[in-house]
Amino acid sequence: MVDKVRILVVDDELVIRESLHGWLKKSGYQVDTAEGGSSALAMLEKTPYDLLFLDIMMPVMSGIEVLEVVKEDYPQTLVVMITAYGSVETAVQAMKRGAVDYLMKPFDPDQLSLLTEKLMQQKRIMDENIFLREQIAEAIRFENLVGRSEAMQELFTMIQDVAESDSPVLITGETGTGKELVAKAIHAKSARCNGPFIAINCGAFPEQLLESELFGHERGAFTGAHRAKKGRLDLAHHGTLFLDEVGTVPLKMQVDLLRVLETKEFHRLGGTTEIGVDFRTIAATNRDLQQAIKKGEFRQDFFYRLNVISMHIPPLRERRDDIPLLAEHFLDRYSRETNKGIDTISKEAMALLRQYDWPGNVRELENAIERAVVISKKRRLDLEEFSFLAPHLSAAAETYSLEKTQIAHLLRVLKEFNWNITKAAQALEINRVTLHKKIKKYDLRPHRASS
Amino acid sequence: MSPVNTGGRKPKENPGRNEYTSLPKHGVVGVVRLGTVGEAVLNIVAANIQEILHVPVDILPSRQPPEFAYSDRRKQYHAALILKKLAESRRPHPRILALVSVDLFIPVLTHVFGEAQMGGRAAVVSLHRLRQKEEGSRVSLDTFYERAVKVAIHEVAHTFDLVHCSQAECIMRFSSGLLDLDALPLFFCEYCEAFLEEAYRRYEIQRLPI
Repeated sequence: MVDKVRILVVDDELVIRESLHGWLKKSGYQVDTAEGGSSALAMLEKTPYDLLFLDIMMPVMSGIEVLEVVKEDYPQTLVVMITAYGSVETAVQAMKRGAVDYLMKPFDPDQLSLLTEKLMQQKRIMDENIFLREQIAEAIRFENLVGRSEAMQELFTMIQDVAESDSPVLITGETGTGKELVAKAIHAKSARCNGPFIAINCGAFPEQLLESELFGHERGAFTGAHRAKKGRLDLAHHGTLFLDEVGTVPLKMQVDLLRVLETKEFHRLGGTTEIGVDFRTIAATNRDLQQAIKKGEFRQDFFYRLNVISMHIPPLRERRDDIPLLAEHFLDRYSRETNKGIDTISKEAMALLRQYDWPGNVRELENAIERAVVISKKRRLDLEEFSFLAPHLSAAAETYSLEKTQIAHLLRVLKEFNWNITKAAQALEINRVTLHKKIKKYDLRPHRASS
Repeated sequence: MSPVNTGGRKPKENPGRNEYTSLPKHGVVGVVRLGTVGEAVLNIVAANIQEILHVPVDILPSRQPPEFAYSDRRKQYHAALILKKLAESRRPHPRILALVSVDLFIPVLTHVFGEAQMGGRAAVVSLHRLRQKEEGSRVSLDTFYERAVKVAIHEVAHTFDLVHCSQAECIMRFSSGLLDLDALPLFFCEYCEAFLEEAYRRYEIQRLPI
């Protein structure tokens, strides 16, 4: 049996409507008919048809006119044009405008059957694609944006609320806090989720290149522009444009960008044609833009245009409760990626991670876990795997825990003497028994390979 | 196989009488030939419908060829017009199947082997293309009879609301050409068999004991 696929037959001739309706119904499809373009469009408003058989030659509203509306308003609906002998050229025109195929009356049964089956397969793939996009959107929603802290819960709620609107968003936060992830999550949850998410790090390009990256260029616009290139503004059409490090955009370009954001039109470098675009802007910065405005480095009007909705992501040190959750999350990912089967982080190591200041925020934590997983040869990450954090630890330990400082120091010395207890004890100026006791007490272990 | 009521016994003239007392007064399907159709193919189709659909079948007296359905433009016969006429038949049979030797069409298709009213009363089978091979030469009589039976059962099943089936091993699979038709089995898949049983209950059709 065939799934209930919904088909609309649009033809001004009753006999064609009736016989196609009958044939499709026998094939198990749910079929409706419409005698003209306007009634078809009215029906499409109420029912999401999978497939439209659309006659080209109809009075009042031609098939081509109906096709244009359908492609604009209901892009998921596949359209097959029905044509009479002699109007094949028009049918080909229709295919250029988005029809998937055409049939010439009367159809060969074989042709009709094969075409319908092929289109249903195509439709299934399209639906599957949408489903997968939704799943990915859901995955992006949570990926790396991990946190149980009150600050993060507030952020999640805000992402949901912000996604529903189409207003520009300005995300502030220290480097590595996940500003791009928040932007992606907003995009994935928004009505533009099926469109592209185009990110550009404005701080990564010199002025001339940034302009070309954003606006694109026509062929010959400057030396080396051998062919025309679409800019990110172009690519973001129907999607979201993410301007990372927006605080670094030069003043002159702020004026140009402001104009684009206001008019939704721009022209490529070396070009004169105005190109209309439709995208949502999300900008991010770790700079204090208010200060930059005072210093005359950032335009106030540009700031107001970007900062319709503002979101702040707290630094990791202000939400230490999220560190274990994030650490486990990254451990899980890198353990899987490297096939190492590392499943835990020791209590001591976790204490160290919680205590560390993370100036590079979540990105630094992620890198730390990745590095520890790569160097570890055990199923558990211990303090020694995080010894590269020790310089920060020793600085931090003076103000925090004596015990942690002791653990880190012991590990450093033991490692230095290749876990030779006698030599390490001499260096520590304690006896071997005391060192043994300490090793046991703090569950200190060398790499398996070196033990 | 239960015997088919043949054209020699005319239900209209003998209402209420039936020599097979276990059978109802008239069949569920009445098979009628319109114009020149061989006796053998008529009997084979009727017998097989009875055997495979498990319902009593009567062969009705022959009728005139369906000239009323002829299209000058298409040089073929309009299947929907024939169905409309058949559906108006005053015979008591809940389903009427016509066999014709002319070529049939429906407005959107170049030709059809058969046509039926979904959940309606009438079905028609054209024998016109069934004697040919794909390349045009003729097939054996056995193959011809088998094709006629397949199209007939497929079309009658449509009148019991069965739609085309996606199972390869089912007579309700759509066949667009003769090769497809030859590949069809002469039985229903288990799903369509169940749908048919359900339709018999809905239409209060009493099926023959197996």
